[in-house]
Amino acid sequence: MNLPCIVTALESESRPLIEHFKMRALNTNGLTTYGSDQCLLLQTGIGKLKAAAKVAAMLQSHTEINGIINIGIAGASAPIGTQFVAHCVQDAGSDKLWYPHLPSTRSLPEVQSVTVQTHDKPDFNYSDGIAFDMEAAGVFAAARGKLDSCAVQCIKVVSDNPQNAVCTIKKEHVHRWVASCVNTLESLIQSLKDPTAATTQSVDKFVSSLKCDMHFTATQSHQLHRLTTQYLTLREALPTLTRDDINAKALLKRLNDEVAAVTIRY
Amino acid sequence: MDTIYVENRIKSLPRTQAIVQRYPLARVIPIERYNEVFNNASQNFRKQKQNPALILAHKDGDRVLATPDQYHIGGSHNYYFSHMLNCIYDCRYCFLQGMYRSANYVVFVNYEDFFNDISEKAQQHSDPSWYFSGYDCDSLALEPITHFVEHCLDAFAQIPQAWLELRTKSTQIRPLLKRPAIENCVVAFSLSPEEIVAAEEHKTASLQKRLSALYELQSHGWKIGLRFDPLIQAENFQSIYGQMFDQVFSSIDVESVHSVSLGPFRLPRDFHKKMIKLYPDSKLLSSSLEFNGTHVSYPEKTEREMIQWCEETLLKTISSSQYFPCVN
Repeated sequence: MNLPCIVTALESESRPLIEHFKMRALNTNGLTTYGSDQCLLLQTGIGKLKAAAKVAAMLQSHTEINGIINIGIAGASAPIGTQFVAHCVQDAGSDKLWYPHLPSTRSLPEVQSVTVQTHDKPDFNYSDGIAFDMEAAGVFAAARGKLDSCAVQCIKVVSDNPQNAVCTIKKEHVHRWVASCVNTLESLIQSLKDPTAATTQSVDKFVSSLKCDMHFTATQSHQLHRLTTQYLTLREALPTLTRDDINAKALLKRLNDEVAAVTIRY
Repeated sequence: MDTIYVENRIKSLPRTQAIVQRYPLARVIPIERYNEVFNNASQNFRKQKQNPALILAHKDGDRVLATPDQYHIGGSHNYYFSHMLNCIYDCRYCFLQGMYRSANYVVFVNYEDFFNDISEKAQQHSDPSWYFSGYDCDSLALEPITHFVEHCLDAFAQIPQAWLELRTKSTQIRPLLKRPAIENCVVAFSLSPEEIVAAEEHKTASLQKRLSALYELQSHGWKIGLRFDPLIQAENFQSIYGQMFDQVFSSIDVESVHSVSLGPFRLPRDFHKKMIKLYPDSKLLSSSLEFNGTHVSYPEKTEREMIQWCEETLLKTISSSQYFPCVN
């Protein structure tokens, strides 16, 4: 089953989401992780290097992850508590840029987008259209190698601005600000849904069960996967085994013949 | 359109600003070069197609390129150009799904550079040369936003030895109807049976609407072209294609049709591989295709029979001088 993974830096950012999604602590190779049947959560600690290393490790150990959403506090020249989604993530150290493909504005009403600039130390050079954080670039550096531009997103909520210094931030404020982002987060989670998931999952399940009963070489496994997908799409049902399917070769030949025999009627 | 990327070098051009102003609620995101967004490796065409962004850019380098050998309608010098990359329609057989990583639309706003290049190319030949628009996009579909064709026709009116083909499935023909037809332009419509339009050519105008647009253009004096390309295999192939040919030829003046072409469904192998990953649930892409060198296509016999039947049927109505098969 495909699951999105939420990535936070701080415990105070994680807590409202753990409560909202009714998550429980998981044991994932020394990572601080939580999970429910809806999503996973990874808490990385502060800084882009920790974020990059832990997201990479998370993707390695949880192959079911179909999207990563980084959520956390940021500095910006906007009122405290304002939410943003990132249309660009920039690593201030290397100038590397990532452009997440955002869902439609209809699904994110009243949420403006900004460039999220990741710095190694807190930055106070507030300017319009930019939010400062310390993790997003690390998350994107690790996640975009595995996931596409629609599947890695970032939400930031303003915690400090020219009128309210970083030192005034309190845990309970962070809890409240992050909790206020839940609707935006759920919209982004919705947008991660893979339109091919239904087909892929039924084919994967069928192929795995067959491989328990019959020996397939690597090439044959590949062919089986492709032919089963074609069969399901063209005949709108998974293949059923017959007595003649005595081995992988015989089965693949039969599937191939049956797929080739289908001509679409319009 | 709710996201527009704009290259910094063209952000202050009046044309760029006019396009951006059409979408007052859009997120406008500055970028240095369009390929930062468009050519990026980790993208999913199908997911992006649900909500494509617009990228406004400047086209450098080769803007006018030679067409493949079989791509012509009678001319000896044939070129194509693309003021836009990608299409607002979503035809399941379209090679663009396999060619580009991104489903975002790129519009190159330096139209005049295209026209200058075309003019230069035309001067290199003593006889007429052809310029095909609508190879990497639909020529007319985004016209209300780009006004490219309007400018393009002004430019071609000044280069009579250069012939333009506009290729479309769109009924956005107002810019053509509000001006007199020019001699050196053919407006060519891609046509498929209504059943295939409904099943495979998502978001496009119906066959009936395309035929009404063709009729209006023809009545207005424009040269029109009919493009039966790609031919799609079907159990009821002869019935649906036969019905379509009847429908087409009863809607327009056949004698004055400039050109008719047809081509089989073919895809470069790499594109097909990407497309079946993107659309495992597509019956068209799941159907049995054969590898044929660098391409995939219907089995040779099937393809030959489809083309032969269409040719025979077409040539009962059109003259052989109007017919240009697009076949290797």
